[in-house]
Amino acid sequence: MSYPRLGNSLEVSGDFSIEFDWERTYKNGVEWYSITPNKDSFEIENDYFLKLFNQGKIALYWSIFCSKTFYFSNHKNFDQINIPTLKIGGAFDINYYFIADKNFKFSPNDGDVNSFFMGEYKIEQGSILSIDTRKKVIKPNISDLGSSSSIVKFKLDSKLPKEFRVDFDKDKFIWVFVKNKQFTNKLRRLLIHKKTKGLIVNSFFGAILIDAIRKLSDQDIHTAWSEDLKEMIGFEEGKKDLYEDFDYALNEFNESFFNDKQTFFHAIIKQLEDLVL
Amino acid sequence: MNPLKIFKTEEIVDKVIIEVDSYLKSKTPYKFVEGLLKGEFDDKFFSEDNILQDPKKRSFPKFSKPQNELSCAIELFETLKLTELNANDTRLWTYACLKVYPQYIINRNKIDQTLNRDLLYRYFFFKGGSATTNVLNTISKLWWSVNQTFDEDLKDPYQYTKILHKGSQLFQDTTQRPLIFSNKVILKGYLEFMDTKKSDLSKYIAPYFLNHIKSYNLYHYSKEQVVELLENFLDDIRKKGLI
Repeated sequence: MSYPRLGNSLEVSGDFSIEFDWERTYKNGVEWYSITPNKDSFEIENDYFLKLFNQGKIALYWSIFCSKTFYFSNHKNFDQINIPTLKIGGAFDINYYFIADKNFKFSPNDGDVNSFFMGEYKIEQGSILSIDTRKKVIKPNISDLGSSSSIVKFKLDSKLPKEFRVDFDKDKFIWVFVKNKQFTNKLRRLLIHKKTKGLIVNSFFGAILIDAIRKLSDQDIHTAWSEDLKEMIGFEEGKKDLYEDFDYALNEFNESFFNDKQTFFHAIIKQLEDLVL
Repeated sequence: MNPLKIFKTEEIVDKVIIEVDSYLKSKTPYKFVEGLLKGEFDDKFFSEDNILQDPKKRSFPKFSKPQNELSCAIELFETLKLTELNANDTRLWTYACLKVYPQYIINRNKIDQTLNRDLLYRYFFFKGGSATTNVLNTISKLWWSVNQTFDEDLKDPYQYTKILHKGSQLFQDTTQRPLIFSNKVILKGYLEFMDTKKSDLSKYIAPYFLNHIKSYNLYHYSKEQVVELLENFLDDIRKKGLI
């Protein structure tokens, strides 16, 4: 009989999630992708699996695969890894899951797993103990809406005086600092799922992107994120002053990320309908 | 030696394909290949405006033993010195196929009057850009077969490349399964196991092995453990009377 896997809501209560931070770096004349699992975002919602993790019986494993160049590497837990960019072509996947790090007896308590799976299982080292389809796709070349979230990053800052602070002054990303841990965890989780990701990108990041578009009319803005955003919206230098106008920025956002048949508002409604109806 | 050149942009490759599409409306794929050999398309396809010269001044090798795929693969790998990113470039491989190696492709694939449109595109173009495309194109697959198996720490760095090229069934079963071909520990274990077996055994063992990887992670496995695991599978297959 097969054992229950974390992440399958029919088998195990609670879920798991983690975000991965990445950036391009230069060392000794070589360009690298530096990828780091974000430990603060790591969450196991099931007490029994959390205990197994804390006892070192299961561990977080993650692998990187580039579908264009066959690049593949396996990693464990939270250490940063670096890959020469020349080994990767365009997007790459980070696949993450839990694996038994040793042989042990799997013996969950009431409520930890679906009652159908109650009992004791012999788990062998190497067994995959979560769903293994969790994936984060990194798209280094910004070109579509899905990756618009890659110029906006959010981070927990429990010392904030107010709920949010948006920082447009950093070079690589627009940073959104969020005071509430529960909110950031929920946001991360919603970004994992296809059905909710679009809605979050549109509603949460949309407002920030519109404000960011308005800032492109500023003569003094020379950040990496502003250059990426200019490329995304097809920025016209001759119309620079117009971008400051809210209506103009909203329309630019709409035209750049959506098409004639599916405007910004239509897209949100459609995504809501997909969720609710 | 032919100087290494590539098409300037992917759009130019697309235009070449449109030209070929248009040509094939009235003529056969084989006629196109004949024209290619005679240089009939040189002005249209390979004009200076369409081509980029290699700033590093590398060259495509002239294959010393064109009938030996392994030898061609090693010569290509050693001469071109590409990065993985370069080696997934439609501009490079399409140029190589159309301009540098058409005769090799014709001989290798035994192309004759029966050549159809799909095969023409598969043999002479590099479309799609996925990992699978890397190992389907006649020329790019030579480079990738070495890149994934080359090990400079071995006395013979091409030890595993040689095994991979032992039989077409093994080559196909291995290269077209990214879970095996991308993970170098698994790949070496797999090839070492297959080295002592008949090439067509791979069609039985590869699906069995892939099924196992889906529920069991081999992260902590050494190459030797992969070999042992495969031997166990083989025993099981035999006991079940599948071979």
